Amino acid sequence: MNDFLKGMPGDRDRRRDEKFVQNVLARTSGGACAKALGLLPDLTDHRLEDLDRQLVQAHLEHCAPCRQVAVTMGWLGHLLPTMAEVDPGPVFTAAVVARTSGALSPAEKAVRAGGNFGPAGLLDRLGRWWQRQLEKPQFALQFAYVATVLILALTATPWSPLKQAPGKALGLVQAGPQHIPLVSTVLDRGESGWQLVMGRVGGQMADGRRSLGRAWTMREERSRQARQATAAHLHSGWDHLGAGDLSEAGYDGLQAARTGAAAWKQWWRGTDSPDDADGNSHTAGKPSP
Amino acid sequence: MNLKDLIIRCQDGDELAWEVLVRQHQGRVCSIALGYVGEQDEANDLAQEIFVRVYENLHTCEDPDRFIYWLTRIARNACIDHLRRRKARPPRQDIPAEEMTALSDSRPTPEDDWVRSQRKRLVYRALQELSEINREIILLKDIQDLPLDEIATLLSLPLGTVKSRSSRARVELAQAINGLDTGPGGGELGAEAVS
Repeated sequence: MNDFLKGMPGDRDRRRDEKFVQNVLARTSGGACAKALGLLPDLTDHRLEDLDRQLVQAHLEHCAPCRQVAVTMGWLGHLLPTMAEVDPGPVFTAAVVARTSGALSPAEKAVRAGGNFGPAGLLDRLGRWWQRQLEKPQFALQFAYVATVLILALTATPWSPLKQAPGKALGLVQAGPQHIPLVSTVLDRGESGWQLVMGRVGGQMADGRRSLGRAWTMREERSRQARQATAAHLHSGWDHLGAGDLSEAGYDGLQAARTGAAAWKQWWRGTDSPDDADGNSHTAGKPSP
Repeated sequence: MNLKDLIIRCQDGDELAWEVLVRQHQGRVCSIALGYVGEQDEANDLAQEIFVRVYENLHTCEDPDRFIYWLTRIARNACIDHLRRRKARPPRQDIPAEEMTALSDSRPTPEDDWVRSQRKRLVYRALQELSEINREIILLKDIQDLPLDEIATLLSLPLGTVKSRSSRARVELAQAINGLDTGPGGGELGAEAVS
């Protein structure tokens, strides 16, 4: 028998008044079960003050659902600590050892983890991260969200080099496959068309690589002046900062930000405008003392 | 055997030490897994996965004095991953609770052992009825007897929240047990406690 149920008065005559009490409670404070249930853990742990204990016990005498909860909590208090360990059976240890014996030893793992800074290590960690992500149900949703944001950033922003791509793709889709030269060639000529297309694709890829190289060189060249100006402003600003001349350092920082923005614009837009390009016109605008 | 020495030997790749470590902690790991999944066979498979994960990550256990908390954290993470996968790919049919294997010794037992065994079954079934956080608090505090501050760290919850939740979780567990133990012929387990 649970200790905390000892000392409760018997049913006796109170039962006949129970309905009356419940009616009064319903019209006044409401039921007391929530309060009693809130105090039950302290009651079972013998942490309740005497008056509270008597009040809860008086409630339990008349409330069968709460009394049943109290009884269950009483034996739970003894049972739960005995459940800390479960015997998995005689073959469990052997099964675990069998599964881990072929795996990499922890020492090897530690060595790998300790000096794992090269590209192979990075790929290994990336692979593990990717595997973990794939096991998450919401990963597909997150991936779709990030991909959408990236596509929008690359194709819908005014400074993006790919901003024309969706329109072109939509135009191709609306025109149908016959209007795409490579597809129509394959459809018309069959296998020979396929070989022809592959030859063309190879040639176009080579052209693309050359074109990309040229574009890269051109953008490098275009933005070089602005980048050099940015570096010069940063260097000058650092010198002024070291000398304690905060106003000059701030001005140089501002100029570095402007020329940096110009370099960024030239890289993405490829503008030839000398005003945006750097440099000289902006830096020449430094006010004379 | 000193746990710290044992772990260091395991980290050096000593298979014998690893076997002893598994034997020492398999009961606890199986209990945690069973608390999360509620089914003995599934819990045993999950406990194996947990030990494989422990083995692969043993070199990251830098403080052997805190091995129990480290182990509990790995076990919890593995259980949560398992439940997520199970939620994403639910089993073809529910596992009847009656098919849960006996949690105590299979030898013929006296009546009080039988009652205890049945109550344990009820507890594991009722744990599945609780909210995730209440189930974890019961598992970690009332069953595994971890300190409240460790539980708060493990669950990333404020200490006060864990304290208040702890009391409520026990009441909810008792209510869930009573809800399960009211079928035909039910209620006998609880009634025996006051008879």
